Amino acid sequence: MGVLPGPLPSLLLGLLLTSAAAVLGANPGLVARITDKGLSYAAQEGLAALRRKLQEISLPDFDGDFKISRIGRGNYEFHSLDIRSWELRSSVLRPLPSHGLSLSISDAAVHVEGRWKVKMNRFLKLQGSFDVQVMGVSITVNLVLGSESSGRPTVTASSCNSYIQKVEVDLSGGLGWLLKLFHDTIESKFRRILESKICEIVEKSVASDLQPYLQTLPVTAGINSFLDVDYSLMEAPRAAAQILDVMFKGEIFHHDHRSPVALLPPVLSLPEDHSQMVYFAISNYVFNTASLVYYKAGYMNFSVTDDMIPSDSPFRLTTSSFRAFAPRIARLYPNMNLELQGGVVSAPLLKLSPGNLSVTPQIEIEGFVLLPNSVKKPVFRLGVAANVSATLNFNTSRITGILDPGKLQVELKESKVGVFNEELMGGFLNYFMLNTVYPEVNGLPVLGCQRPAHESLRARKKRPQLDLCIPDVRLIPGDSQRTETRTSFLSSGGEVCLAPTPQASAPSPLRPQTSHSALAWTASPS
Amino acid sequence: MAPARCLLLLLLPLLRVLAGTSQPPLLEPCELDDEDIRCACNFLDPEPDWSSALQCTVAVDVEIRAGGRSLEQFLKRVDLQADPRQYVDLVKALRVRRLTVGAAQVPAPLLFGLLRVLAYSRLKELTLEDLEVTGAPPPMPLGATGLGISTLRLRNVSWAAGGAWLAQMQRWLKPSLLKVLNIAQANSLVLACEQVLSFPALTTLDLSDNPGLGERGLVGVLCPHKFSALQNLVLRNAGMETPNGVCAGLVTAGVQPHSLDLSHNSLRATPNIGDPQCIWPSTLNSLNLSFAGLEQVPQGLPAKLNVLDLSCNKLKRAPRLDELPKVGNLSLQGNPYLLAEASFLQENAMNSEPGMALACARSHLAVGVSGTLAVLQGVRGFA
Repeated sequence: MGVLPGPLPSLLLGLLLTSAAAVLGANPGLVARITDKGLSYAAQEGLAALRRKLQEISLPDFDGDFKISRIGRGNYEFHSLDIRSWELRSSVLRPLPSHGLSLSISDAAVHVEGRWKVKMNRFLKLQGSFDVQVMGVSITVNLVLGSESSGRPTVTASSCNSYIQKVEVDLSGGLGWLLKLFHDTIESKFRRILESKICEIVEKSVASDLQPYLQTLPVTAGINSFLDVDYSLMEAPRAAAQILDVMFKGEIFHHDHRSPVALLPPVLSLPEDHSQMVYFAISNYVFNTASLVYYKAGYMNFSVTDDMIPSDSPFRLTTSSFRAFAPRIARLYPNMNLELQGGVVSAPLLKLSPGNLSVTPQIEIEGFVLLPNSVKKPVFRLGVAANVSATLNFNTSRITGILDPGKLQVELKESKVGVFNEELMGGFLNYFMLNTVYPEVNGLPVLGCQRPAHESLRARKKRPQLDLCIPDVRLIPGDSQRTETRTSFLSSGGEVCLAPTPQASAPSPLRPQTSHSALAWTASPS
Repeated sequence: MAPARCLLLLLLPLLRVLAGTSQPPLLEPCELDDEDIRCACNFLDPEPDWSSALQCTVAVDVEIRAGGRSLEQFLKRVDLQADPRQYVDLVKALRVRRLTVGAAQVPAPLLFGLLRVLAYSRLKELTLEDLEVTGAPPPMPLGATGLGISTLRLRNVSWAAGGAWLAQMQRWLKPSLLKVLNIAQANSLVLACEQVLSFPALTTLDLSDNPGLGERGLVGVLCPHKFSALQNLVLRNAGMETPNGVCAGLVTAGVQPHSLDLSHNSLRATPNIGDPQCIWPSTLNSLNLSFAGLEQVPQGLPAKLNVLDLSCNKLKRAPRLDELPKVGNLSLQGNPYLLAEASFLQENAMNSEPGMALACARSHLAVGVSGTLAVLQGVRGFA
């Protein structure tokens, strides 16, 4: 899996800070937990970004009066202050119970350059440039994380402390020797000013930059050409001693028409463990909302005709071949083709139990005879019950799953052509699935991972994309007919895509989590 | 019902024309009856439509005749080493309980492959007729379950393996389930007894219609200690000569049947000179000596029997009590001495005489015609 590259932590940070208002009493579909380990990693990685941001801070001009005994009064002005560089050595980002986050930067150094002007006794004007090295800067700011009704996060700085250990001022220009006399005063003045300014700047930045930015974050993202996911926050992120939990709604809906979902997300309980950096918990709610969308959009209907059967197959979709199931069909409809139309009776819902996923779709298939006058005459109806389950295994850098397709059970609902041997139909369908369908489907991603061709790069950047692929299915002959899925995490340009890779580069521990209704896994870079 | 069925089979082509339905006049090799119980296939054409047999998957009684052709071509088309898991569900869904396969030259690997596949089905009775089994059987796959039939019937089956055929076949069955074994018109009944496993559940052994068997042959078939559960031994038209000789055979083989059917043999009443008197197994309580052409009650019968059938023989006089064993149910009808008495006693002698003679004659006719299962079934339905 390798090291989590740069964009991901910022994505994580961004994800963390995208809070949304809570619908009181409703459970989230997706919970992300970041521990103090994860936060410190994020802080480290984010230092570079922070440094760039801090460099953009513009220090205001400041001036003041001074009085030198026996010489007179004057006033000084420091202007065109320019931060040349920051040195951030250590930063600590910690969850603050009942608040949010606490960010402390310690032992930082700033290098400021600027120009100074001094007017004294109304006739003496001096100016020059100066160089300030500020050392031992410590900033501690407490951020309160909340959520608002639109599902977006809010952040406010509740308290800020700063401390500067030492300031070294180097003045150059006319009568610098004079100012050297006031070195200490200048330095301590600088120190006091900077100390107060830092917190002012931070608080202002949070209020006028960070918070408005958070307001612009989207709460929905596109998954593929018609699916969107609503990941607005259900409530304010919950901070405890070593963990920060962010509760996302996780509802998948159709891009064009969103309808209320009649499903209730189950309670998600993450294990107490906080030895890893990040934990994700996803409940069956997310998958089931997707299933509902697919079902309503008609993607779960299918139609099979004789031309779909490979030409070398001895069995065809004709009344002749179907004599095996319904002996009289060829006498009633000699030498005609059949068409099977089927679909699920209701959206199949995923059930999650410790270490195991299962789904039991109920399918109804109707058989039609294609009469010579192009009329489709229904001749039989079957109910097919499938029981597909998967057991997930987590090892080193891969999630592997063993898919058990289960046996299809066929029930005859109606036959207009006499006796129908539904057990033989069931046996045949099972045989057909295992030997023809599963090998064909091997390697096909189920969701997404293919961007819509018409979307330009610019449009994509505007609409944040979350490419989510379900791991592909590989048929591996074993002691029973099982398939194995492989997936690993890849990250490229801010997208998280689960895709098959033959090898993982560096091992990084993935821990399995089991809960009664949720799938959870963790990640930490090496 | 049975006569109707045999009529249907024999007059199949005619019936089709007479039915006058709107179906195309093409003759289908397979026919499924209206109740979806019986499916009979007769592939006579040089290039028959084999797919017609698909209709038989719903039938309980299936009969397939291949018109005497060689089935060598199928050996290439089927994979005999295929993993059974692939087809287990398909085979389990077949409803067939009674299967008849006949009229073909079949390679042994194909035949035993069929037995292996059918092991997963609900088949209970298997009949093989008019087959020539060629070649050597395939190696037995590991962990394969045997075909759990309770009745196996063979008629006019010739084996390349000669006397070892039963031992070979046994390995593909579940011997603990086989209850009835019929072997008729076999070319060789000298079995390789040391290879044969025992049949712990076999209660009925029918060796009828083997005119060349004889009492000596009987010993060759009844492998010692392999038929320990045998209760009914049927030896109609099996070349038996005397009941005493049969008894000696039984004693040699160590079988103790409860009922013995020696009808339709040409039996002699007196044993061979020099043959010792045989002690019948004490378990024997039913003996059928009808249609045996006996002119007198044979010597050397068991002392006590529940049922003794001497009907339709040629007894000229009523047997004396000392000739007969102690019998609970004695049957003597159809013998000449009784007919003579009957015609003397009854007024409408014309009715009874031909009636009785007819009963004995009809049965004779049935035995005489061999190789026509349908007619035989019809008669069995009557009898």
